[in-house]
Amino acid sequence: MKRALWAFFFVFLGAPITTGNFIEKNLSSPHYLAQDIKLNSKDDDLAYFPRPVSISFDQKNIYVVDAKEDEIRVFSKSGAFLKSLGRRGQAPGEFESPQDIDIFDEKIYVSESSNSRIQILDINGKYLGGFKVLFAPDQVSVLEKDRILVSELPLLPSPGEKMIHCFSSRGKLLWENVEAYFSGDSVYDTFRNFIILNKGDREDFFLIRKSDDRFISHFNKEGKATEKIEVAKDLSFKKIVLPLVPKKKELFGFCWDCCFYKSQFYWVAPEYTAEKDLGPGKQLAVISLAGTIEAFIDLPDPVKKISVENDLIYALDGENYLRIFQILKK
Amino acid sequence: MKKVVSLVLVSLLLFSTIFFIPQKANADTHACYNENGICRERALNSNQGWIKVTLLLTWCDIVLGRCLWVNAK
Repeated sequence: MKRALWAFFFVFLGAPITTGNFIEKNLSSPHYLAQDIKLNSKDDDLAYFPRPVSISFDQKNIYVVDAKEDEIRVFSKSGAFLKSLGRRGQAPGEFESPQDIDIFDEKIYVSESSNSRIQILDINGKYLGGFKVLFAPDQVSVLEKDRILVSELPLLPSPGEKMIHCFSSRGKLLWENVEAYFSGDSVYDTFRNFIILNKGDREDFFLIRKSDDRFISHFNKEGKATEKIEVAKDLSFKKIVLPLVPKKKELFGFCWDCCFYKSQFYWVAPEYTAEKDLGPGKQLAVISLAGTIEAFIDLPDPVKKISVENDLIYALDGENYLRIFQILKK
Repeated sequence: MKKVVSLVLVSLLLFSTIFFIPQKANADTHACYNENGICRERALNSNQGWIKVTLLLTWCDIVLGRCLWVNAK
């Protein structure tokens, strides 16, 4: 009851701050607060995911991909469960280990690692097309109808192996770029090759490495690197020592997850856990295209995956629940 | 934390050495890598802390090594 009253207070009495870009620019990194607007999500079994891997949205709904249940769950923007798309299998419209989703021009693009394919579905889950790839696809991002980015996290990277592939909607390879890091230690290399792809506003895209690099790489739709954006020092690396065999290695965590919305990056920085591990944080940094920190948003709990739309944050929290937050000024 | 990590790593190594029982004698190398892919994917999708993921990935590599060794015999 208390929680409901608080939520009511923040949702209905908290005045919106701006129009357009929600976060104001050029202030000295102001702090915002994000408050739950979806009530009783913890009591709702359908808002819990055994292995959530991706969250996205379109004009009407929120989409969450679960790699264990092999389905996409669709929710309204107020958090009400609407339907599930797909089921386990290899037939068109079915999934095996779906990894990511992107919605473009009212079509859903899904990457599936076990079936090594990209499927294109309509908004109701009806199969429209797709293509096979020669690797286990990870992220998918559609720059334009015939330009589909697919990332790969190589299992055992070899020197020169590329991690980003661009295909036409019929599966023709258009270009490849970004070499995988290779040291010969498969576990360490996996961490070094953790990348996040964010679609830009102009058929461009950004690449963010989760560790050991404070630069955001900007690419055009042809796959050519156009600039490197250095993230301001306000965001620091989080050093961790990985217990690798035969020798421990240091890693410098920098980003847990990130999304790009209206020319700003919403950045989940990793944080140390009580067990001295490195896990998802509960603060978002809002970063400009120049790399400066424009604001910080404090969340009530750590979040693993996020998507931002105006003053709303759609997130998967540390306990694998869907959460919807509204950004309010402190 | 360090002690726990060391203990888990040593246990993994001991387990893989002592209990060297082939699970799939007929499995070929390709199947070994397939299973490794699934194992690693689960580890990565677990969204655990990075030290825990390191342990899970190490476990996947040990299982892969065992699978390949069994098939090479």
